Amino acid sequence: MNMFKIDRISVKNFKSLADFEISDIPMFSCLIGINGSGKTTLLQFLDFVKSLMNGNVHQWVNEQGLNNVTELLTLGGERKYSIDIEIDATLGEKKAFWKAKFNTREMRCTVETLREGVVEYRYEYGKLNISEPDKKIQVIDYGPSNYSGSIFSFRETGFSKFIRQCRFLGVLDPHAIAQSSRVAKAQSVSVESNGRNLSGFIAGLSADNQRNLLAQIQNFYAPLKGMEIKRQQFGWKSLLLSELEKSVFSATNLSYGTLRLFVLLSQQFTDDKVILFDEVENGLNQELFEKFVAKLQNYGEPKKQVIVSTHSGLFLNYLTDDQARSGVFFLYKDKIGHTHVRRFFDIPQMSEKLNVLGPGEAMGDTDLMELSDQLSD
Amino acid sequence: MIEFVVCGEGSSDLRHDAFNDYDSPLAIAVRNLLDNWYSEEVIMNMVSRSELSDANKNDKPKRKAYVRGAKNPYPNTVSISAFSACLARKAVEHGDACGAILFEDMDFPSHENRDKYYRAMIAAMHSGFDSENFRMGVPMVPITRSESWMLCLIDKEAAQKSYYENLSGSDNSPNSGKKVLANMLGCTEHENYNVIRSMVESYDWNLLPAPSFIFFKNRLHVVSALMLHEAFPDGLNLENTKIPN
Repeated sequence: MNMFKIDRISVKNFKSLADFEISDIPMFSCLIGINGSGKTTLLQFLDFVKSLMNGNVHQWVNEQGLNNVTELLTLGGERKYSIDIEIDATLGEKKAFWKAKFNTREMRCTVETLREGVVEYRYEYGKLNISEPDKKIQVIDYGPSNYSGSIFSFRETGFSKFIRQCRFLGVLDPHAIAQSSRVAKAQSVSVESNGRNLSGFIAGLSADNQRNLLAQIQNFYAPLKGMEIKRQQFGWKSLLLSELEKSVFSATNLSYGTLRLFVLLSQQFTDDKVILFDEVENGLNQELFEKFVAKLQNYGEPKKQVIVSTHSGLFLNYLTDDQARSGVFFLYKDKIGHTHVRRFFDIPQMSEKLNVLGPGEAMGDTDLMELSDQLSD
Repeated sequence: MIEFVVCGEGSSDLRHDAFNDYDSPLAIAVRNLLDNWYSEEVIMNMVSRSELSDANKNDKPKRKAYVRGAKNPYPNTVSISAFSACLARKAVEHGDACGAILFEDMDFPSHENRDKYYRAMIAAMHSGFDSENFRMGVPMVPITRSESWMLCLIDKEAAQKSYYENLSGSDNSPNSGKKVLANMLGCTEHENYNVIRSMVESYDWNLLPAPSFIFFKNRLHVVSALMLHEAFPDGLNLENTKIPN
């Protein structure tokens, strides 16, 4: 099977990720840790990397509500104005490695290396060298081009396309999810990180995919009878639903949890390769966890990589021990507020607990604050 | 013959140091007490926590998704209960007359609710033993750590030695048991156990006055009496040595 996934992330100087590395990331991973440990920051970092590959860092910074990009830099210590990034990924048959230095003053990566299969790209001082075995090195001079982010937002590669196919869903806003979206003809829209544009996104799905999505939502929310997209003037699309004993009503009448379900299940039908869900269990009844965890482990066709953050031991309890050992990552901060990560069940006392308890039970039976303190000593 | 399966955290407490073939200080304490009471051969089968849990990983009970809450606010108690059930099964493998001793440090840095946590840990151990219908379980839980007991043992000057139970349970505290013990022994924290191991055999553990040790000692006495079909010590029985007051 052609698998697309992020294997390893290394970052220096991005918020609390002062010197952070996470490796051997499987197709389904759960980030756990106490509040403020850096789970959302790690997901947000991947969204930032996506903005580098989109070449829209300024827009991304504005969307985050930041006044200045330097607010992304790690506080304390020696002040540096760059963010160092390394990412290893599997792109089907190929392995890729990207290394970049993002300069916050220039709002772009000033030095980049990308190895993709046998091809190597090196970018420095405005010049991109491309080397392939048995071929002459190709040099492209981009000169003082006015772009932000990565040079690979200009020069399409398999890796840059892959990173653009990461989708981050953060704190979902029920009003944003339920509201109508405006979509120009023959265009498709994506669901934004707060859930906005859901109706526009569904409108762009094929009839088969719309039916499939409805069936999947019904599997979680049985009263739902029908779903349709109402097409209004000027390209506005709104989501209309019907339940067994209710006639057609607008999505604005749905509960927050059900709206979240729409968003969480809809992303299976995107072209995205990596889906990032922050606090994935929010708004979901515990009765649904078993089905939902099973769905996330086989998310989309072809299967997408899914990385979630969660505070729920019940959610973890539906993982097998092997899945929990490989895919549950514990994030914690050291005494100076820098985030670190350990595979949760590689920590000796947690490994022992997993032998006698379920993964969620083991988490629930552990004082995570105390564990963070122990690990940071 | 008195036989126990014994599970501790590390070679510094109740675990046999297989590399050096040393008995740990608390294993010496157990032997010392039993030799004091009975002239029977004592067999202690050491089992590590990871061996114990590895042996049971394919035989976990159905997940019940315990979570902490108002009824059970303390961490680690669910796993302690599961470990004690594993240990009870292990003891039964050795025969009907084999007991089990489970050691656990408190690892509870806060003094607040310390006594409640202590009782919750012991109750959790008994809950695991009871789940296997096992009557010969002996919780060994020092307040706050094994160093408190060592300090009580070697400090001849202190008239009321239970104050060592008020030492911090956190190794990071300047007042941690490890630091105070190292200071008293005139060695580093890492050397503590090599130094103390050579000393503990010459002490009479029966006289150690720390309340958490006395509670352990009474339970050990009752269980070993049961094992040998001897009369229980005065005023003690299986029920009143189960949960501390």
